[in-house]
Amino acid sequence: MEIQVGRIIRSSTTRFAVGCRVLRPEVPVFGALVKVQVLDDEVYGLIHDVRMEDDPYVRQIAALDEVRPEYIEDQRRNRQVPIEVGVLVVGYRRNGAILHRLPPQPPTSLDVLYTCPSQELAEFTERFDYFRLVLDNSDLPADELLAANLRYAAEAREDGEYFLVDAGRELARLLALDLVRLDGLLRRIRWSA
Amino acid sequence: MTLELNKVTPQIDHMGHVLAGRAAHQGRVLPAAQALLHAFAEAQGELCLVAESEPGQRLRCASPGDERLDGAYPTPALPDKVTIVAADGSQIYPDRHGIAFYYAINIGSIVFRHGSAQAPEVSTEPKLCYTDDELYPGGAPVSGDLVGAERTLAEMRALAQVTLAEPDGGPPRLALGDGPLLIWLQRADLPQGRQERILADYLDCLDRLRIGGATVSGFVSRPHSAEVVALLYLAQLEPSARQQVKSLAETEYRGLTDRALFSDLNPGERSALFVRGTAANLDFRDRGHTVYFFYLNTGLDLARVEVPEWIARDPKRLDLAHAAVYDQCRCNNGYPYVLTRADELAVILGEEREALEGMIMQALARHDLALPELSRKAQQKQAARWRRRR
Repeated sequence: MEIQVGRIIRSSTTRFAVGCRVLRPEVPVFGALVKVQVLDDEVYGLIHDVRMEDDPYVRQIAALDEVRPEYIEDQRRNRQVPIEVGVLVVGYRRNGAILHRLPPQPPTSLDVLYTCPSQELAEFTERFDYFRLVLDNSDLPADELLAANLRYAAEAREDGEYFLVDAGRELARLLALDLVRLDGLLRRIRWSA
Repeated sequence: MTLELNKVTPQIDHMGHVLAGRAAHQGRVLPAAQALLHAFAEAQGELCLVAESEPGQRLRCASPGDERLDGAYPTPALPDKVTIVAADGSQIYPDRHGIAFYYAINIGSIVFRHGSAQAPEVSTEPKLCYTDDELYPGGAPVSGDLVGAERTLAEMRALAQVTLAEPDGGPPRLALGDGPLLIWLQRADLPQGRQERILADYLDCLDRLRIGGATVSGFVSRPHSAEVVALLYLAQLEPSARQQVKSLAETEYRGLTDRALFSDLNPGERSALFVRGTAANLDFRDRGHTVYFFYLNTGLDLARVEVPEWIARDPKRLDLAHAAVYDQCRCNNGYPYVLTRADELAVILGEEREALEGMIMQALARHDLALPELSRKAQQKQAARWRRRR
């Protein structure tokens, strides 16, 4: 099932940010595959960051001994303090085919971002060409991000354990010159049924 | 050039000296004023005569209610469920140097269901005013005073409308306004007839709230009035001496406020009820809405809470206003939560005004009007101040 995450507030070819109002159990989740329609294409990304903007009023309320539930609900649902979700672009779909490369155009403001259902996540992760688009971001927790995505992808298919073994082989190829990093990543994607 | 702080340093130093002297003076006279409060605590009849006398009217003295003047009334129990409604407004004043001559009023309102654990309902109601009647009432360009009065009326209308939309048989309802309940239109530069219409509409709202069974109050933060102080000062004088007093500022009680007088109240306690002493209260009295007030220790501040007569004379609803306002302040730094939020909803930020004026410019262009621009004066000011804004 597709769930709306929020609307685009800032975008570039490689990353975009989405504003949403409340955290729900299903969204937004670190490492989740998400998508947004851009003209005839669907642009895919991984949620790499979820942050709440600073607000002096929230700080003041947080310091109180007693906070009424109505205050909490008001601050979370009504006040214009959006939760900002950062998304790393990892590919796009054109004419039905999934491409693990940067899209020609980024989404525009207020476009809606959706989560990808399990079937689509499994389809997107059939190949591992997008690994490079994730691992090359030294300013992000790229290893954690990819590991989280791979764990979700494993859960989305029946042969999850074998999927992770294949993913590990691809990582070994990409990170052959950085064994410490490879070791850390492989530990993070170890299968646990 | 900018504000050369070195040139104001001596003035600042002198200002500190003056303020310290004023504080010391008030510290000296306050015990005497508080002693008068106790001395006249049960002299309601005598004080009423003083307030109604010519000097009492001149000094805008408050009148006592039925309670002991020096009474401190603890916070009553708050019902488990109460619906608290607040409304506040902001405006863009008309500016003949702007891109177009218009003004705007934005009203924010909140319905806070105490005890429900639900998120409050919030809404805003913006109104753009640009018709000839709105901009040139009585033929002259609209003034800031009139915009302020229209905003006050819009706040009360929203308060009444939103409060009365809540079911009568549900939890008790409190409509809480920001500022005095008693509006003061006489000083405003309002065209003929407009003042009467605004007042009549405002009082109509109070009528509707009374008929609808709601509780109403106005919250005045850090009040500066001295209506009770003036009453006590006059009361201690011989009747002949009272005639000589032209203003409280000429007496040793200058600068002493009611807020200081009631500074002994403990958190949650309210003072006795008094009747506002300004002449405008006569208009309210004629419609059965004589405005009363009490002082309330909100926990971190002393505020004035105003209620109409039909609340002042109804102990149950007076208790509701007292308890609910204090509860709102208790968890919000001494100021009602709903008023903080109503203000936040209503306020028109600079960037919002810029966006609005961008849309106005586009609308004018679509109607083949020359692209509007700021007046030469505004343009030059903007250019010259550019560096200062960086």
